[in-house]
Amino acid sequence: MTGDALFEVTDLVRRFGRGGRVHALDGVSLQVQRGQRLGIVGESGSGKSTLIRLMAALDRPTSGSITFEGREITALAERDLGFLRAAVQLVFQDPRSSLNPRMTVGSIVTEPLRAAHLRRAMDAVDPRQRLREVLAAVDLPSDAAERYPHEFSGGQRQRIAIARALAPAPAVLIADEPVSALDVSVRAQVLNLLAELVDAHGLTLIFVSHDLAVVRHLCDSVIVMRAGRIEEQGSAEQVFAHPKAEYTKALWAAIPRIRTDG
Amino acid sequence: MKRLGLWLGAALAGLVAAMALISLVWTPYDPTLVLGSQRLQGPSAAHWLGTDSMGIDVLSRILIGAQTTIVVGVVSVSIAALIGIPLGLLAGQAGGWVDEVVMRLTDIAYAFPALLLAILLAARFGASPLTAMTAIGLATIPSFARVTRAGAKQVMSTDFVLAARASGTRWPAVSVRHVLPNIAPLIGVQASVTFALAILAEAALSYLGLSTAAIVPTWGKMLRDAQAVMFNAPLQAVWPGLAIAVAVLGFNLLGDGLRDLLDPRLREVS
Amino acid sequence: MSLLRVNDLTITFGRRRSVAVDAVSFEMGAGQRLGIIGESGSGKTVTALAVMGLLPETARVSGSITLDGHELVGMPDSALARLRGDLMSMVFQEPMTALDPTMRVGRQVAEVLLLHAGRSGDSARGQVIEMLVRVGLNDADRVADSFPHQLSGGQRQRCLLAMALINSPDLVICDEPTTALDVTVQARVLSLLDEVLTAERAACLFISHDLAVVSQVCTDVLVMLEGRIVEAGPVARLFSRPEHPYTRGLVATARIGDVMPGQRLPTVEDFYRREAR
Repeated sequence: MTGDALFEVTDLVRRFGRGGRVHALDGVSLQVQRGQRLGIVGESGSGKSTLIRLMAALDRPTSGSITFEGREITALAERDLGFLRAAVQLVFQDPRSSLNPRMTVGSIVTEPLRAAHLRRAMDAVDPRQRLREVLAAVDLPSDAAERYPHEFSGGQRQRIAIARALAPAPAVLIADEPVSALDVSVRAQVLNLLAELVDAHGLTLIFVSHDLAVVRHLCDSVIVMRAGRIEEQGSAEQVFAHPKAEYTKALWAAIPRIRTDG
Repeated sequence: MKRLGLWLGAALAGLVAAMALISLVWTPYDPTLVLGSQRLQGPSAAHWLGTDSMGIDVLSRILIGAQTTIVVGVVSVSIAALIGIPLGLLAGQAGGWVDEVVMRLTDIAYAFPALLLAILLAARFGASPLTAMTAIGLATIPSFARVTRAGAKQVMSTDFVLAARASGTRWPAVSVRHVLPNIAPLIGVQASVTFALAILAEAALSYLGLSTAAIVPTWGKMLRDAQAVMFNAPLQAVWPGLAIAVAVLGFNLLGDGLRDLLDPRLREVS
Repeated sequence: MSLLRVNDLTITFGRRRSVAVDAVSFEMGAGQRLGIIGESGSGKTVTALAVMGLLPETARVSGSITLDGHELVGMPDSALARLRGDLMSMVFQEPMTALDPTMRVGRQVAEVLLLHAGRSGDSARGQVIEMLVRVGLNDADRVADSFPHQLSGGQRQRCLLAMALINSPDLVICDEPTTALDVTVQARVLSLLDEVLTAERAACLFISHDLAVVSQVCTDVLVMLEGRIVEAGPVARLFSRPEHPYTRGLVATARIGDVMPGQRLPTVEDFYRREAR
């Protein structure tokens, strides 16, 4: 496929444990285009979290290649990964453990701006100014900067995490189950915010979830994973309206739907 | 009453610290003043704890002894912490073979009891509080290293450390910004408990004559001196013994109390 | 005669007396399936823990909870312990922490049986295996001899269900039992729960933040907000004609599938504004 491919993943394999017993990823290949909204769907053990950690260079694969903006990242040392770190940011699942409880919100959000190799890859930015901007972008008051994570609700903490991800003005936002740990009633707010931000900043979104309904709502293309392999991929419309794989159909059928027959 | 242990521990430990501080500027009598005519006297209005075999006021010696107690605690814990914590951080953060090597080294260090080290150092450098403190400090490095390593491993597995790495934070900054602040409570507890152990160890060493030169009063040495007059004046052993017990109990309770204080806060009720 | 009657239940915590549950009253009949729905901090879990007598020491409880005629508020823990596992039982959210990691699963299930039925160890095994099969674990013998970490999340949750049901309790309290499970596993566990509850004719108090999940198991629902019940009624009515604005907000957010992809999702705040937190 030609086009503006941001990420190009080829035959990615990641094994863990003695003798490589655990096959977290078993030969995965995919592409992510600039501006795409890709959903990665799978249950526990599917390898989806492993995949995005590899793509964000937080782990090294056993074999295979990942290129970002044409550069191979799997063998790069941390000091050469500045360009990737500045362009690719993550939002994690659990708002209770993704923020250091001993740091103020302001320090948490501006941490990406403190790394030298990131700053070299970015335009010059005033951390205080940027802090104000991103807090406003996620609809948090500016006095939130002096407070600590435990003073905020789950939904608010996720917004703090999103603000942190936005600080270096990335091109790609990878969200790993960002609403799964939140109450159903709070999810809509965070999802709306994500959609708005992706639109407003022209971000490329990689959204990992086990919740098909949410993925269908946010994404234009989907990859369904199971046991370290890709079961099915295609446009969101296609995969949801006409799923080919049995597993995709099973996932769709398993979503709890409101039952009124009692 | 809730947290009785914590308050009691803090009070006792505070008492010992206060004794040491006060004795820097004042003691009831000069602790080196020999009052030949008043040896081995029991408690009285003039000498609250009596006098020892040289006629020196026991209370004054106890107060001065507190200085050594506190200094020993501080120096031992400092040596153990300054070496043990970085080792623990290294092992906990790096993992892999580095972790293995550091842990095996600490295992070896564990095998040397403080007493043995103190004897070795005393034999080489002459017995003094310094050799005692150094020996105790070195012997306690493994426990600091282990506690730090365990805490570091736990912190390293959190999402916020992963997020820090995704933000480009490098290892040294991760240690300082993320690991240390989150294991500080654990270290505090360890320091308190180690303090108590150090006091006990030094008392044992000075009782054995491995810690002090002749004149400087330490509680362990007072115990040793009391041994000689045990049948004439049994009380002579009680005062330093009580002092040691109070200090050790105080710091132990403080450490336990701190640990209990921290545990429930780690769990949230929703 | 109602099985469970909660009257004017008020629960506060700590010295500052923060109110977790505020004058809550409701009733459950034998075999009834009642859901309590609300977000974190609404007091739903605290209410369930109060029924089981599992609140921490810092809790102050006033009001009344009667289960099958027994007044539970103020009952000493030893008496409550006799009721727990026997008359009433609870299924928790995190199977990994609710199971003892150092004990084989079969033994843990047997423990519940032996505590209340006073049977000998040998015949207990038979009943344990039978119960494990009933909760859908086909290789029950292997599972019974396994440690929790050797089982999958779904298997562990089934074991918890087995423990909760083995003494045929009158009331089973489930606190977000499927929240930590994958969606396909959740579907299976919910349908299993429905089946087994019907077969045992047990009543169920099901706590969740997910309306769709609650509707799989329950016929009636209570909506809790900030410690109070704001609406109660049959599930069907709540969905089709929610009255309280907060309920309307909950119903709207439960149906992501109904919203056109790309459109803004409805939030609770669209229906119900609460004070700034």
